[in-house]
Amino acid sequence: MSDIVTARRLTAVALAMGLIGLPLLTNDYSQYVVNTILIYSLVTVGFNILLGYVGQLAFSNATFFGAGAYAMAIGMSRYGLPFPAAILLSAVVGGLVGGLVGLPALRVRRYALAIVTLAIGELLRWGYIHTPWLTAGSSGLEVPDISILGFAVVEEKHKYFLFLALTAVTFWILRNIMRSRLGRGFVATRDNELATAALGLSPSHYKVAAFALSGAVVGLAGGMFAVLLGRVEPASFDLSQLLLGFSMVVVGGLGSLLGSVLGAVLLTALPELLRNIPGLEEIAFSVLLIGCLLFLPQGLAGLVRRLLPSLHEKLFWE
Amino acid sequence: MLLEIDDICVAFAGLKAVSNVSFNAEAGRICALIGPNGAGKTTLFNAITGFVRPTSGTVRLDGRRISGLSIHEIARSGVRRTFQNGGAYGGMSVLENIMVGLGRGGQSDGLFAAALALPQAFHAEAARLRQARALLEAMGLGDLTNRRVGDLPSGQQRLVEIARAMAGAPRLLMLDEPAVGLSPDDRVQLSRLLRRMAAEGVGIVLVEHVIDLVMAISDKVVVLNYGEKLAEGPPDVVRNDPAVLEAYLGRK
Amino acid sequence: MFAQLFISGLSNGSIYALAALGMTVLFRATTVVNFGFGEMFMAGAFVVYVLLKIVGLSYIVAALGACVVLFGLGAVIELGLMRRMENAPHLSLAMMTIAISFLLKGIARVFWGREVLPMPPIFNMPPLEFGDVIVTAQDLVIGGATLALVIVFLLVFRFSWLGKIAQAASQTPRGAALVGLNVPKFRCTIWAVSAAMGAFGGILVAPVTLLYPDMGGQTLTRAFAAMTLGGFGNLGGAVVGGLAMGVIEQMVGGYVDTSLIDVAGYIVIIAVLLLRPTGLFGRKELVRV
Repeated sequence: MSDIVTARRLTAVALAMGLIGLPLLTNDYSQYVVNTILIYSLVTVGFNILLGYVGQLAFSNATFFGAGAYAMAIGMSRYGLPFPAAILLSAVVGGLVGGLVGLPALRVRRYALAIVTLAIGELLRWGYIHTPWLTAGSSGLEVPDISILGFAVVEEKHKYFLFLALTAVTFWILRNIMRSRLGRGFVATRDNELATAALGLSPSHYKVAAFALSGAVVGLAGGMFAVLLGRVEPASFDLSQLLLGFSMVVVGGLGSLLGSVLGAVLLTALPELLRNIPGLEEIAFSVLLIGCLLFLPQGLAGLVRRLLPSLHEKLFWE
Repeated sequence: MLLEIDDICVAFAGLKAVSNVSFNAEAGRICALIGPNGAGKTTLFNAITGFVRPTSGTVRLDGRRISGLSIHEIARSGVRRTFQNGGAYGGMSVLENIMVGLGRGGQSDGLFAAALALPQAFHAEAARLRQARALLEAMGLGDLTNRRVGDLPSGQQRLVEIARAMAGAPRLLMLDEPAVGLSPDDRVQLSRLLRRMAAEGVGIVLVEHVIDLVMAISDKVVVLNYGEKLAEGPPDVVRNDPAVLEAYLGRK
Repeated sequence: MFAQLFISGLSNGSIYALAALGMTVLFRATTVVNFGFGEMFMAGAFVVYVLLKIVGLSYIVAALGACVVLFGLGAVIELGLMRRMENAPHLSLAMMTIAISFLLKGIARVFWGREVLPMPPIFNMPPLEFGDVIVTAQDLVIGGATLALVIVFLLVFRFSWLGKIAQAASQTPRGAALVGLNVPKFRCTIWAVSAAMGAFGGILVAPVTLLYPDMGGQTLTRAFAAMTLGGFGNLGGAVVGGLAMGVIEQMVGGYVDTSLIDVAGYIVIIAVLLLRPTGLFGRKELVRV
């Protein structure tokens, strides 16, 4: 027993050191890619929560992502909020949008949920384009440079540490939640909805909560995204964004923390390589997706688990 | 009176599954619902627990009307049920199942505290764990605490399901064919458990086909046939009722 | 103005009806929602373009050729991909159709990247005028062809053994197989037919909307809106929903704001699912305990 514990602790320490020391190895561009991966890992985890606990297909990651990003941009540039307040706002707005989307979502059948969440997302995006007084319309909104406690965070490497800290804290909070009464309720609802209702717990309550939690996490990632790019525009949150998040979940492996990161890594690196050839990006994505769906239903995480059975990580359910 | 079933009818698209059934169940007593296949027992059971809406009639719990409420609202009023096909959470451990059944467990911690791992969340969770473990010990399931429910034999899974139901301190416990598929030893253990829970004041209503078990532990038996109540009374009286005999054995 | 909007609405609506019908047919027969259906439209249109402009065939032959090609494509998709996912959860099936749609779009983009191609109209007739209302030849062709196809399908499904088979194969594949139905072959055929229907729609609509790799998305949304409005899984509902969507769009665009045309579909979807989730003609689902 203690061997495994020691091994895990060593791995954790090594990982932490690796993450902290990473900026020593990167230049501005690769650091930007790493930052992007970090943000998308968070998005994928958030999307995983939704798909996993609501148990139905819901196309809302782009919706929450955009809401959080715009909250950050509008908060900072129009209302002069300091960064800490603005990033909190991203999470809160994301959570609220999540809850709002979740409420009607309960009443609809399987495929209808996918369609209605898609519709809400696109409608919101149309809203971004057509309310220029708030969002500066299609041309997009600039995000001012941020500073924390007087220290300007402009360079990619500084942003990295900020994002790393935010991601780590978020993962920690999520872990606490999953181990709490709410987390148990999530797993129970997923396991057997009717039995859960018969215990006096409302499955709808947990599904809306899953939506809200997913919204908060993805919204937070959206806020980080806004800071990363320095600007937000409606086009960033369209269908291709949705499909990107989607592919990361499938390729990485549904329900796995490791998978979320792996999916984010692979599907961020790929577009960077295929950036210049139109269409090739989509073909590569789709081939990857199809391959995973046919041969690796558990995604990359499943593959890793098969190769290294001692690696036992339990994010959502086993 | 704990449970009052008053003139309940359940009809599906013109077909009457349950017709004008009325009976009572008391706290601290075991009431069994029996009848041939298709008699409407399960439908009545589902109507009481909120899985099916009664077409007419009322169900009252301690005088308060519960018919027409949603499943979880009825459960919140103090009713717990088990499922014919086993409703325990297979993917979780026995302890986790009980923890879900416990709900708040009388603690007042909130999500905020849990999310930030504040001390009060810690203490509340520890208190709940103590309660859950104590319940498992009391029910004789202490050895199984950390076992995955899906890995257990079905008899033990049933017991876990009952324990989970009891964790919510219900006033009324409803069991849907709890003895099906159990070995004779398991059945004895089940009988003892049910009698003990009744002695502690819980009202128990069960739907069952295993007549021996029913006759051995029930205080009252209600017989249904073709959706109607055929007989109601203590086991000995009901077992000799000519109408009941005819329903089960058919006309000679 | 009302009449003109109404007629335009019906014309557009017949395309949506066709798309919704194609998707509903597939859904009813296989319980799979093809999120890549819009790309069938797109593929059909592009194949016609290639056959017409590059191979040099006449319009009718090119159109037929495209339907045949898409028929084959649908069959290949079912055989190669969907069949292997038979026992997968619905989530995975939906994701597979999304991946397929991505693939088709990517292929189109490789060849035609940022271009928007014009398609020659089917007939070169001057538009007809009925008072204030102008009806183009294209409108007539679209409306007429769609109507014919829709009627054929409704009749076949409602009253023929094919319809009964579809019902059986989708509800209880094993039972259907026991009775002697070749379920895999049936599934393959249905996919092929659905794809061909998509092609048909794409061919009809391309002269109006122009060709570009992303043209499928618009159609998909409208088809979803139509299916939602008419009641998911209901064939007649899909048609009525499609026509209604067309009219709603034009009315909203004409009387309120043209920018709302793009989102009318979304609004309809949200409104219907909030107010009357089963749509106009849908049935409620029962839960068994």
